Amino acid sequence: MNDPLAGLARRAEGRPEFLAALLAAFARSDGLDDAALAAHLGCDPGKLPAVRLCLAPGEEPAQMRDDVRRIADHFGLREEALRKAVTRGRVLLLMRQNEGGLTLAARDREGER
Amino acid sequence: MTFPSPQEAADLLRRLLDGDPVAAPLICEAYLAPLLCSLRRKRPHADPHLVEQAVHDALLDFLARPDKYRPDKSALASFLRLAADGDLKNLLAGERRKKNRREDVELDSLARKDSRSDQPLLRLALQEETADMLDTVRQVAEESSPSQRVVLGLILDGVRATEPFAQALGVGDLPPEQQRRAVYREKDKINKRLKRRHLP
Repeated sequence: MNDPLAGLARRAEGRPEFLAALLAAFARSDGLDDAALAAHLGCDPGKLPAVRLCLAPGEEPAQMRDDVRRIADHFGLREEALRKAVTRGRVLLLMRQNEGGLTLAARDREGER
Repeated sequence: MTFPSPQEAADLLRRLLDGDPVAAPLICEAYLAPLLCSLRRKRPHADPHLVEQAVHDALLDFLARPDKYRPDKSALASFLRLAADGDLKNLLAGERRKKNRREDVELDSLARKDSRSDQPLLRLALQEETADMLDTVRQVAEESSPSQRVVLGLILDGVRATEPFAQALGVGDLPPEQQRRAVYREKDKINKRLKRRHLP
């Protein structure tokens, strides 16, 4: 039977407030499917929906460490692997936002000509 | 499928507001199924996918901005039920708009027959104009009686003879002068309704 949280977790991938968005960006960049992502984090794939629905760890380094530890402890994940995924995911999301901004700026400049 | 008790709800909310990142999935686990159940019961004819989407949006919006919820005003379950129902109404309205647009696109083929429609901007204007007209006709039809709706249909078909109108209004057996008056009266009512909505 499908996990009812799975659909909700997928929907959260479009919202940067949730860990789902960071894990999705990380998994995409490394070409990981759910099984590979779960293996990377050291958990059963069945736990992924709940993991994805956690709020994204804070951006301050101390807060991020603390949040990552709490999530890893709760779900029995590899803390270091989760930290790497969160950091990479965040950078990738920022890059995408900036790319969007740059594209818009380029379009604006194009329009001014 | 029951919502958490007030004590459980208060504990979960406290953890969320304290910044515990794990509180969000716990709230989802506790509220998702009862919310889906409640909204399906309330709107049994709504598309199940839209119901699910509305519940998902309500939950994620709340988790992202829990400060929008005022515990002194309502229980969390009521707040989420209301939010999900509001989201569902918006989604259903969006679906209706999409459906209307699809119908309008079909009518666009009629507009293409107009030579002006070779120009994209004019075609778009024609399409919008057609959509507005259709909307007006729909509104007038909704507030008309069944026989008036037939009269409306005849007007839109460009019928001018009195007889079809008289038959539709059930006055075909009256003397011609009385038929003419009855038809004029009904056509006038409908024309006025159309004009009130700026349809020429």
